Amino acid sequence: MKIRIPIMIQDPSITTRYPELDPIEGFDPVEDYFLDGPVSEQIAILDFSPETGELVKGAKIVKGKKRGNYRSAKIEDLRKAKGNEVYEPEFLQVSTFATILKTMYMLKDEHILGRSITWANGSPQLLVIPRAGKERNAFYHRDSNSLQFFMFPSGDDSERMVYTCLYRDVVSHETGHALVDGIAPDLFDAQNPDGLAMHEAIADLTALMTAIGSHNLRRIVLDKNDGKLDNSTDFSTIADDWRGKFKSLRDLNNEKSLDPSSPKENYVKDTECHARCEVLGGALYNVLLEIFEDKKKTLAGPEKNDPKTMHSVSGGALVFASDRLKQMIFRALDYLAPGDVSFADFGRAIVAVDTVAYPKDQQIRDFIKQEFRRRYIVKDVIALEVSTFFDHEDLKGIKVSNLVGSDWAAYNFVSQPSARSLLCIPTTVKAVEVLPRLDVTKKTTDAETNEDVVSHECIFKVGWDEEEDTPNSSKKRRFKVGTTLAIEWETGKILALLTNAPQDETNTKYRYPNEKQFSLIDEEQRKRRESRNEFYDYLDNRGLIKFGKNALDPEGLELFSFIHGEDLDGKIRLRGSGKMLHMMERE
Amino acid sequence: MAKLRIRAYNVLFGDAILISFSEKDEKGSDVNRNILIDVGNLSRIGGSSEVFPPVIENILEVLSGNPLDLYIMTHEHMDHVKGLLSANNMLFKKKGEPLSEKLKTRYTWLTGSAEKNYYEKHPDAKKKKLAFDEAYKRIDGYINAAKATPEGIPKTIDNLWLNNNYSEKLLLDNSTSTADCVDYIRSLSLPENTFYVYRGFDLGDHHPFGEAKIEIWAPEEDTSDYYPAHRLAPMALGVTNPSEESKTDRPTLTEILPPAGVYAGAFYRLLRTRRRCYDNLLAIDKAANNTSIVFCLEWHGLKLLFTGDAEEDSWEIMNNKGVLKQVNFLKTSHHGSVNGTPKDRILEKILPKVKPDDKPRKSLLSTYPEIGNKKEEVYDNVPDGATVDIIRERSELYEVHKKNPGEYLDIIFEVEE
Repeated sequence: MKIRIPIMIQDPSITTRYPELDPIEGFDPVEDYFLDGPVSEQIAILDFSPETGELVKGAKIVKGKKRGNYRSAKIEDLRKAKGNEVYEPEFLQVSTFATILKTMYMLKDEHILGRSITWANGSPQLLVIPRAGKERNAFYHRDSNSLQFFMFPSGDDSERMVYTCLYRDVVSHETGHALVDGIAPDLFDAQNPDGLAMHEAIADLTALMTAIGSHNLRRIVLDKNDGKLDNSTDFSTIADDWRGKFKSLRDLNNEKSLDPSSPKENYVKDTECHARCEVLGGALYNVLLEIFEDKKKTLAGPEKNDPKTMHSVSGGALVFASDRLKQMIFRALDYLAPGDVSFADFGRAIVAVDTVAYPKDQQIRDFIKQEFRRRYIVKDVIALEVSTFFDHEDLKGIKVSNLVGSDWAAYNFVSQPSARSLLCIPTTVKAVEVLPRLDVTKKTTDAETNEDVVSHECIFKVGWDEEEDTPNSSKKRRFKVGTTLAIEWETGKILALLTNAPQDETNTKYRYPNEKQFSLIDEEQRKRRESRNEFYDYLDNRGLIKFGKNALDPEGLELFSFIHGEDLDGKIRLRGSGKMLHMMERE
Repeated sequence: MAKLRIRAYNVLFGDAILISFSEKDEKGSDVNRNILIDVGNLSRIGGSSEVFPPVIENILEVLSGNPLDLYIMTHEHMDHVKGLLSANNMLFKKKGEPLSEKLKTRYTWLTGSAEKNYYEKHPDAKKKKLAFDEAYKRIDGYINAAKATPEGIPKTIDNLWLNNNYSEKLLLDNSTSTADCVDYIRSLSLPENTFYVYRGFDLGDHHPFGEAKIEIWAPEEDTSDYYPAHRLAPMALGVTNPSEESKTDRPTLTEILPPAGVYAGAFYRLLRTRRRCYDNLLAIDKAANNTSIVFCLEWHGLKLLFTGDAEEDSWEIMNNKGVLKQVNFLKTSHHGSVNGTPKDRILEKILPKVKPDDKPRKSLLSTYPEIGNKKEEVYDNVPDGATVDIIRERSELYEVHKKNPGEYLDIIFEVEE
């Protein structure tokens, strides 16, 4: 069924900056069904009254003139909503629904993930509360698989309320968290700050890419900036107005770095995930700008020195750059090894997916590697090299469809000594977990022919637990690591291997294309261990970890403001550290 | 041989500690000194105020008609303030001999934020405290509504709610509140000898001691840091206030059904997660605990640490301020809860794993464990087994809750003069 619904281009304040811009666009999603609320198979809007807690009647969906074409009862009015009309409950409900759905569609596109999207913990529906209460807040809550958007006074002289559900980037950002949690759930249980910072940075970039997806906004921003973005904050700022008086929360157009020799204002030492996310977000925003500038030149051809031509091609170039970055980020999440990962792991996953998609186009990957080195995410670009396109004897006689469809076949494969070596499983490890295999069919547009190339892959992940000493306690820490294999469906060729396993002599045969990586990864893993220690201490020193039953309320639900510590026979592990994402921002 | 005695009373879930020692006064004469710390318990745990009269009578017996030198109220929680007023109402007043006539108190110290105009002097703390008070007010409405339902509320929530209710007349057959108990404590000494203390407060001549020294390690004068915003979870309690048409005059829980197409299990789980009153009661409780007076009594080279109910945030601040020292006695904070004893790296500074000298190291636990008591009357996970084990490994642990209600145990320190 199809429906026509309004969506906020950015937020109500955008008309202050662009008076000529209509802040509302139309959106035509197609779903199996739409019910009042709106409610669809994967999303349900639940508008509780902030005053009484009662459920406010959801927007009514009525049958349209055409068969299978549905619309909201008031949709035509709402589509043209002006001024305070956007604060009507029905508009809030429908616009929030539309923004979430549009963000999901962005990923469901076969040019991006190439598979269906599921929520974390197998939850069927994402429950969305557009008016969750009065405070400066919005968050994804894993335990209830919900998005909760709050409202707060603007802080300027008016009595204006800021409804966070009307902020396209806030809604996309929080939807991004829910999507990331569905794709790479281990990030939410991160034992080090990079996992959470990655969550946050990808949510920021999700918001960025939905903004770029708006034709009207894209046109007006590029016109204002003569087709350039390097000095503009129009797309790069996150949550404009969050701090009141139109001040934003973060800016992706930044020079933040992990390099201690950076200027003081750019050096990020903090283990707090919101501070740290700016480094990764800034690096990937620069990648976007690089692709954008490069594509403009390609499209302009011999006219590349003509500002007018460059301006005229900028819209197409920006869409191209955004699509390429989207592919990198979300496919990389699918390729990411299970367990505790770092920015460098994510960098390798990006390099891997881009290599698989565009084997000949090395230029942008070189830029990514340099950008990650420049921001001190890796010490040397060699650390980001990845093993791609190789055969392995254990996969030659195996039907990939069996590996995907049969747990027995998958575990049998993993039990072979040579496969264990391929998967970087140390000989000392007894128990491993093979995750549900992903059957992925995705499209990549060939740059030369402009035609789609279809690839069919199995993404195979295996994880296991490692242990390490902790400096400030007699207890050991338990953390998960693992390996991802991307396998070509028809041939069994390994398209990419990515692992975060501690390295030893038994598991290095396949993992590195470059032998110089051994010492670099050694150092990287030592730093990661330190990072886990610092992260644990950061939480522990603030009394934010509760163990066992202390982490639960009397009904057995997870406490909101504490991280759940697990202590199994003196071996500790953090569960749900992702709660930090919504806790620390509230200070 | 000089002797110091710490007498801990089993007042069920609460504290009542009397320190008695001798010292030389300004003229060099031997004098006996007595410090009483907190007398109180939780009404619902152990459930009884009957325990207080015999405890107070024993204290008066120790004093033998002499005044109490110093009364210290660590913080404004019922399990630390209730006892004196209870005993007065239950026994002494009835006998026509008000307790205040018998328990003459030379000096009284209360935690800094108990001062009546405290929040007017500390606007930052006031702002944060108001947010916590507002959360409590909302929870109060919810609990009153939830109590009327067949399901009621879990006893853990009931206990926390009650212990943090400051103004309502909930105690002693609904005639007395926590505020009344604190007011009673304020009246123990003359106004000019009643002080609201914190780290850095100039103790000067605000106590009677000569040789014995007292250092206050906590709380901070400005209590803002004990009220971090991130601890208060957003709540949607789903309470409908009575309307003119409604037949009831009390708030009721809003009944909500899932709309069409919404998975019912997920919907009700969402409602439950939004009713985060337990999270917020914990935060409110924690904040008040962290205002506890933590003080170190130094006597003949021995250091004795009394902690009230200080929790991690307070320990962290004490550590950051560099006040921590190795001690010979530790009153285990917050009844042996996991959040009352500092983490290893901080505990190491006050009670190191390796004993540094041959001086004694003793500790006291005052709690109300499940063993031997009714499960519905105790807090889950209090005391925390691992926490108690750590204290026991590092010191000789005295457990007052193993005594019968109203009885006491003595911890003795003796030194050559």
